[in-house]
Amino acid sequence: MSQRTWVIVGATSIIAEQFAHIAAAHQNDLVLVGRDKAQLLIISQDIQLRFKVPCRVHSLDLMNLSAHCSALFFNAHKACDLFIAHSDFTENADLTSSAINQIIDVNIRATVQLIHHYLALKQSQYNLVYLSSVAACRGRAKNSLYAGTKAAIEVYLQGRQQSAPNNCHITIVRLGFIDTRQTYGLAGVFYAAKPKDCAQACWRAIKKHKRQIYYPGFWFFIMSLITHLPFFLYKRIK
Amino acid sequence: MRGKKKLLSHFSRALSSQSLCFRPENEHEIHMDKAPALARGAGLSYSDSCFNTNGTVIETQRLNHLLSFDAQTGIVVCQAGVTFKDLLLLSPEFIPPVLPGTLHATLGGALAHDVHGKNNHREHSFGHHVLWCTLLIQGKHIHCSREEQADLFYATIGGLGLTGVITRLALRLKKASLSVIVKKRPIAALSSLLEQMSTEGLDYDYQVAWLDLLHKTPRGVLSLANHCPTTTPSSPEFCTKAAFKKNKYSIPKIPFSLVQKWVMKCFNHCFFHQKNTEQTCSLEAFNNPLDKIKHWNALYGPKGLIQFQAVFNQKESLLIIEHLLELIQHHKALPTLAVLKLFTHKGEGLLSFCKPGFTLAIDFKNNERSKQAIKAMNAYITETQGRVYLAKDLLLNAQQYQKMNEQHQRFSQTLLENQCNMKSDLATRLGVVL
Repeated sequence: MSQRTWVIVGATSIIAEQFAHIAAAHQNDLVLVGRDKAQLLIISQDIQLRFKVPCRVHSLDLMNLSAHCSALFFNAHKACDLFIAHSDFTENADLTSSAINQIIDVNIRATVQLIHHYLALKQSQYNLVYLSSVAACRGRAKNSLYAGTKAAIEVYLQGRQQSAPNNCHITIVRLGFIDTRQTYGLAGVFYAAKPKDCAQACWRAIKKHKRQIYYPGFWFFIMSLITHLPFFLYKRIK
Repeated sequence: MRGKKKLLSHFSRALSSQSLCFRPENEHEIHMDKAPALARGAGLSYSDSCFNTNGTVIETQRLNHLLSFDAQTGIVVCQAGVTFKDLLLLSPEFIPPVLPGTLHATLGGALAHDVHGKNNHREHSFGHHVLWCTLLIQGKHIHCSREEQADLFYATIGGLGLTGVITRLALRLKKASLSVIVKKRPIAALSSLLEQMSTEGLDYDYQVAWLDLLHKTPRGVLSLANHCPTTTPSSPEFCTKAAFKKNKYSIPKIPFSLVQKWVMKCFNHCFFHQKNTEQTCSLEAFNNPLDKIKHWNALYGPKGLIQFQAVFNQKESLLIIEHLLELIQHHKALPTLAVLKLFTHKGEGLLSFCKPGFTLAIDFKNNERSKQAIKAMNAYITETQGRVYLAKDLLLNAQQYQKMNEQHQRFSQTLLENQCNMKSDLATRLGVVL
């Protein structure tokens, strides 16, 4: 899996940045995609200095991602792999009409367009990592629209996995708490895993052609319990 | 941005401190409100300079990007959270001119303490190689150098992070190989050791002496090293592998101290009588042998360790060291690890530690006897016009600090004039912030 181009979408997130480090350390080229051009340039410069690999940036508003999909992949000189880390988040309590449109546009419409374009590329091998969330396992009162958008992509990807030929590897990563900007200082976070370790787990999973992993792994057991909990008990959980 | 209440500790694990922490992931997110704050890098100092108890702490670990590197001049521009280890990835032909005892320290922390290495006689201290830095003061980014905002620049070198949040800096790296040829020489008499360090030792790129203070007559092993053609591969692949290399050894948290007198005596005996052949090794293995063992400070148990480090007059060094040893014996403290280096250049910062003379660093188990011994040694060093290293100290008082840092008033005045709204436990203890 060397000498390819990893396209990292949502590249200013710390997990994506750490994943980019690993991909670069394996001598892959990189295309970093995100909204904040200044920060993308900083990350790109850092990666080029550390790992001596080409690293381009592509700054865009993910609301308009579909218009840029072709440019992302066709400018790459080598076969592409795709790491999807972008996502919008709004709690149910804060939803407004525009927030609903935005979360659906970013998390579903743009993501599906991206995946669709990527899997339509003509190349000999496909590697796709999608960062989902354990929230997608069962809707919670707090953030069920966000969870629903993640679940929508998971279900779409499951279909693509079903029809995928042997040269197409799609890994869904259900993330528990990772030590990111979103969980820092958040009440109720009992353990937040290191982003570097999470990125390593994603890299190992795609190399081993895993269809789905939980990270940290113990979330598999927690979510198995939660998804099988009878509804009358689930309703009582705050 | 959301804050988080954290119980922070430092390298020696002797103290802990609760603060409201913010961790920006880019420079725009650096949170500065009206309350005085403190930027904290890797938290590897032995002193309380990385604490702001019940105040605001800005964690800079994620502001760790390399921004540019000129292979002609060796000048690297980077964010302050970059570590010395990161700099070694830049080019196999360039190294940081000054390397502290751990490569995990951040460059912001290194500038704030104007750290030194084993080569002061060749390369001065860290601040000497910094061309400029950017400070965030009251929400404004201020570019400082020897030509621009020079008062702030000289206050920032060794300024304990009290001038502002150091966001970026430019450092001139040195063209040298990553390998050294090391000579180790056991020396039974302290006077002879000091003599050799003052003469022959100055001809080498690096020199450091390890001391056995538990032996009936203090003795030491002098290590002398010169750069030599590298024996390690220098391809990009090697650099990237180095970036992901994990420590082989790690010490778990142990509920008691493994550092006992008899253990240290055995260790010292073996170290003194090791084979004295010349050997070639990596610069990292020579300069930072303890970096090989992750969390080696956990060997001291839950109470941690406490360190004394001071610089004193070269001519009277034998007398001063003998008196310091008497003070240690008088207080029945246990000196576990001791290191002697020689400075020939003073630091450029207003509060820089380095000045010509011998510098002695001694680790102790953190207990009351050690504290009493260090207090007595601090008083003695003050009397003899020496200087205690603020990156290591927990026990100095305001009068002693003022007496040993001639430019303390100018430093505090610079903080006032530039409305530097920073604070640390060390600054409060020593009355640095007016």
